Amino acid sequence: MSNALETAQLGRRYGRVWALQDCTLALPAGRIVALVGPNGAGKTTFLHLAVGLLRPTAGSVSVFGHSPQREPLTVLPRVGFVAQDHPLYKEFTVNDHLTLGRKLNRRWDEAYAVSRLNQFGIPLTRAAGKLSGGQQAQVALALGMAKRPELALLDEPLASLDPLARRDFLRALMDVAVADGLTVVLSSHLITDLERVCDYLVVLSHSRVALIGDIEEIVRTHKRLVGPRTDHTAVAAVHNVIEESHTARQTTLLVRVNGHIFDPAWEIADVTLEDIVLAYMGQARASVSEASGGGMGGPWRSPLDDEKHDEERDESEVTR
Amino acid sequence: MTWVTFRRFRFELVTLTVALAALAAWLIGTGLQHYAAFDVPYVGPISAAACARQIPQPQPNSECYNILTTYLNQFQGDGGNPLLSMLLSNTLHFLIALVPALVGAMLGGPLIARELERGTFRLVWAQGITRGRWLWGSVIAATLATIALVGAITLVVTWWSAPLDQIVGHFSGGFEMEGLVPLAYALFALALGIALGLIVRSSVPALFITLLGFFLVRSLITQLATQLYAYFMPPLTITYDSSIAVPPTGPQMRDWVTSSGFVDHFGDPVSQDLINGICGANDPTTAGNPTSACVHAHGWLYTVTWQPDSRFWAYQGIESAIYLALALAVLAVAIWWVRRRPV
Repeated sequence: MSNALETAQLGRRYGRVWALQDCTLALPAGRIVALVGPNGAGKTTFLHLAVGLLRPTAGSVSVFGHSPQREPLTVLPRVGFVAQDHPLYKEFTVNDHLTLGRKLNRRWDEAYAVSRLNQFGIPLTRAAGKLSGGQQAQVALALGMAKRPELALLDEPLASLDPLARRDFLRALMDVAVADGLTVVLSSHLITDLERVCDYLVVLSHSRVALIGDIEEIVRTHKRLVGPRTDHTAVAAVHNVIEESHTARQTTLLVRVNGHIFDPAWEIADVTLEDIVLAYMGQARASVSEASGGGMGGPWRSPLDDEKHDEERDESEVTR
Repeated sequence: MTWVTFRRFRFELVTLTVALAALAAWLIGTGLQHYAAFDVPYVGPISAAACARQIPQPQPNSECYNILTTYLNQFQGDGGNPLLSMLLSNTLHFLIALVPALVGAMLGGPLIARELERGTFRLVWAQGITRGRWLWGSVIAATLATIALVGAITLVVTWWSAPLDQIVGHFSGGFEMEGLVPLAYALFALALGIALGLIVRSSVPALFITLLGFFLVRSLITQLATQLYAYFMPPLTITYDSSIAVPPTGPQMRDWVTSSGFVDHFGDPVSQDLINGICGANDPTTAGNPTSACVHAHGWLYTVTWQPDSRFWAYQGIESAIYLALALAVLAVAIWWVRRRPV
C-alpha cells in the first residue's frame, strides 16, 4: 500500500532551536494515525510542514508524492487541515464559512458539509463566534471534510472539547474515515484520547520521532518484566529496554521484545499503550539529557511550546 | 478572495459607508444652498457665477470682485450660515482630510494583521488556493473598496467646493480634498496599513500607528510641497514698482501666491519692519500704505511668486504620483520584509 505522507530527515528550526529534527517516517494510506507527544514536542510543526504552512529547514516532506511547498495546488485540495483551536472567522456565520470554502476550493462538497452540520444541529445562520467550542470544532471539521480530502490532518482537535463533544467528534470523524478510506492524522498530548480510534502511532518527543508503528503490533511487542533486583544485562542484550525502575528488592523493565524466550526469573506482563508511550517519552528525555551532559552542544534548551512555535512561524510565513 | 475580504471587512465597510453617506448628505444639502446663491444674481446685479467666469479675472475693487467677496463672506463670515462657516473652517477641513487616511488605515491595518492575530490564516491557507493568490486577492479587494469609498466622497466634495474654487482658486480651496490626491492619500494609507500590520501583527494598534505614520509623512511632504512643485514646474514671478500699479501680468484672483515681499535693487529681500520703520508706519499720512512714494524713493520693488490656478491638475498629478509611488514602495517593502525572513 502506498504512503499518504512521507518525510526524509525532515527538520524545522526556529532561530537556534530545532522544533523538529531528523524526522524520517512514512504514514501508510488508509490508517488512522495518532501523533502523540508532550507539548512542544513538534507535533504542530510536523503538521504545519505537512500542509505547507511551514517550509522545512532541512530534509523534505511529501504528501502523496508531492511537495506541499512547491506544489500547493496539487497537495492542498487533497488535504483537509484543521489547525489547533480550530480557527474560524468569529463574525462569519456558518453559511459564510461554507461560502468561503466553496469560493476557495475547486473540489467542494457543500451538500455533504451541510448534512454533517445538520446532523449535529448546528445552526447555519449563527456567527461562528457564538457557537460552543464543540460546535466550532465540528464546523472546522466539516470545512476540512467538505474538500473531500484523501488526508486529514487534525491538530489537537479534542483539546477544547468536553467528553461528550469528544465522543461526537471522533464518531463523526470515524464515519468519514471508514466511508471514504481516508488517511487521518490526529495529534494529541494524550494517547488515551485517541487510543480507541487510531490504529497507527507516532510518538514525538523532544523534536524527534521516539516511536512509530502499528498500534496492535506495538502493544503486542512491549512487555513489562518484573524480577529480582539483579543485573539485567542479559535481558538488555536481547531485548530493547525502554524503561527501568528499581526498588530495594526488585527491578521492573519495560522492553520491546525481540524473541520469545525469557528467563523464568522475570515475570512477564502486558502493558497498556499509555505506559508504552510514556516510557518512550521518558527515554527520549533521558537521552537528550545525556547528550547535553556530554558538553556537545551547550546547555540543552527546552523545546518551545506550541504557542511560541506559532509566533515564530507567523513571522516568517506570512506570505509567499 | 474578493468575497472573503469584503465579508471580513463587512463591519468596517458598512461603518465607513454610513459615515461617508452622512457626510455626503450634509455636503449635498449645504452645497445646493450655496449653488443656488452662486448661480443667480443674489448679492448684486450679476450672479457670482458670472463674475467668477469673467476673463480676465476680476481685479480688486471691481464690481465683480466685490460681489464675489460678498458671496464668500456670506458663507464664511459671521453673518452667514453658521454650519457652512464651520464647514469652511479648519476643523472640517481636517475632517475631510482625515477621510482618505481613515479609510486606508481601517482597511489596510487589519488586512493581514487580523488574520495573524486571530490565527485564521491557518484556515484560509489550508484552502485550495496558493498563498500568493490569498495575498493579492486581499490587497486588490481592499484597494477596490478604498477607491470606491474615497472616490465617491471625493466626487461629492469636488462638486461641493466647485463654486469656492471658482472664486479663490483650486489651490486655496480644496487642493487636498478634491480630484485625484485623496485617492492617492488613501492608497498610500492602505499600503502603509498593510505593511505596519505585518510588523505589528495586531489590528487595532496597526490602525492607529498607520494614522500616525500617515500624518507624519503627509506633514513632511506638505512642508516640502512648495519646493517640490517648484522643482517640477517653476513658479511664475514678477517684480514691479508697487507705487505705480499692479501689472496685469501679475497673479490673478485665483492663483496661488507662494511668496511676496519687497526687494532692493540687487534682488535681496527687504523686511517689512525695515520699510515700516523708514517709511513711517506710524506716520498717519502713510500709515497702512507702505507702497507709497517713500518706498518708490528708496527704490524698493515688490516681488510676487505664484503658481497659476491652471496648474491645478498638473500639481494634482505630481502629488498623486508621489503618494502612489510611496504606496507601491511601502507595499514592496512589506512583501520583501516578509520574504527576507528565514522560512
